[in-house]
Amino acid sequence: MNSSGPRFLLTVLGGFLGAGKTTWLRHHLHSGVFRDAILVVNEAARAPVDHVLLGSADRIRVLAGGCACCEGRQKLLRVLCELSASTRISETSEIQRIVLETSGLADPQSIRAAIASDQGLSRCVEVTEVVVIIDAVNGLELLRDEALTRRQIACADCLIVAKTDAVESQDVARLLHALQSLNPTAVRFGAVRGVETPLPDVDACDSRDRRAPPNDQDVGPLFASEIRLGDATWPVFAVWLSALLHARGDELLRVKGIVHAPTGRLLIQAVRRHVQPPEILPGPIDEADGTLVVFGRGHSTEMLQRSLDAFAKAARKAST
Amino acid sequence: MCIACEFPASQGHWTESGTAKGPDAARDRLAMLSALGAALATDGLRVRAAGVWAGFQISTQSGRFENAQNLEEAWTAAEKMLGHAVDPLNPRFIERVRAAVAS
Repeated sequence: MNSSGPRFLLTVLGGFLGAGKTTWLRHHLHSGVFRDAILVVNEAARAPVDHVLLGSADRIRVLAGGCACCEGRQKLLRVLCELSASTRISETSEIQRIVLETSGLADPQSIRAAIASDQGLSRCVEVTEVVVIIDAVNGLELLRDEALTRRQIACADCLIVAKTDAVESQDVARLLHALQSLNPTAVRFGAVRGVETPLPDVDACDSRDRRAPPNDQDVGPLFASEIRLGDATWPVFAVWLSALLHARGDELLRVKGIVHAPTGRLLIQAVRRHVQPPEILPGPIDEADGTLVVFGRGHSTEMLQRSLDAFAKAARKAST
Repeated sequence: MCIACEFPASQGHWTESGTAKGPDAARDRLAMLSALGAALATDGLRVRAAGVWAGFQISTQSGRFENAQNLEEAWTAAEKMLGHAVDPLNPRFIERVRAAVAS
């Protein structure tokens, strides 16, 4: 290991499911901010999607199938060890840092603690900054309902409030007020599609959040379900997913996947009931194609798969 | 807003983003109507193409109807008419769909 020279600078990028981490990172890669970085992308699901969007990164490692703060922790530490062993760092070297995009289910503080407690690794890698993204649209609700979101916010050095263009500035101010009480020392920025935007002055408006206080009751674990689209055609898939989001949008926190349709290879991304306009991805076909990842509560992989398969069969019969 | 770092996004409602264009458009449109109709039939609703525009008309057996511009609106219309949302994860719903396939 590269233990006696300069250390890798590690930026941990966290934030809840659908907050906008990949969008923010994409823009910063595009603008060259992270040109000196190796990118490590962690996804809780076994079928990763985000790395497809970060294709412009020259150096990328994917850690899929386990959140890096818990079940995927050892894998993360191993990758960081490998990177620090194989890459020579000096003041003039091309590579100076690692950017870790965590899964939306990760607690960045656990990652920071795991690195600090590994004596060998902490001589080679230094966590310099924890950047946490929170979504202005769902942020207040998540702060109330998800203890994980509160933990993510509390450990941030830098907070990015994303999607500020989708709500009124009064709503952003309320969110800032809540963030201030959870983490008064973090620096804060606004962002729209990764581009920095000004934030409203919290003191200048009535920003008190009059909603219910944090819900500390156990709301049950979040599941990542992966379902295969199989022979479901685009029309069947669109009918099924639109029905699912309409009926269960409050329980399904995040849906993402790559679907092959007559118009191309489409990236499907939803946060609760809101579906982003699907991006048309270039080739080549990735192993994640044809798999839909659904994060949420109140369902199982079997339920989702049975439901989609039943739709596909019924549609086939109806069209014959 | 930065669009330079994104791939091009499809236009229109997301449920239409994967639908074939050109000569195959009618085939996909029919397939969508069939899939929607099969799901709504389990609750006694019917669907048909809403005339010249690319929407749906959902109706009850008594003739009451609602128009919808896209699939999202179609599920909202169905909920309004039924008094509950059509839940694709409801085991009873799935059983009814499977029974309809088997019949």
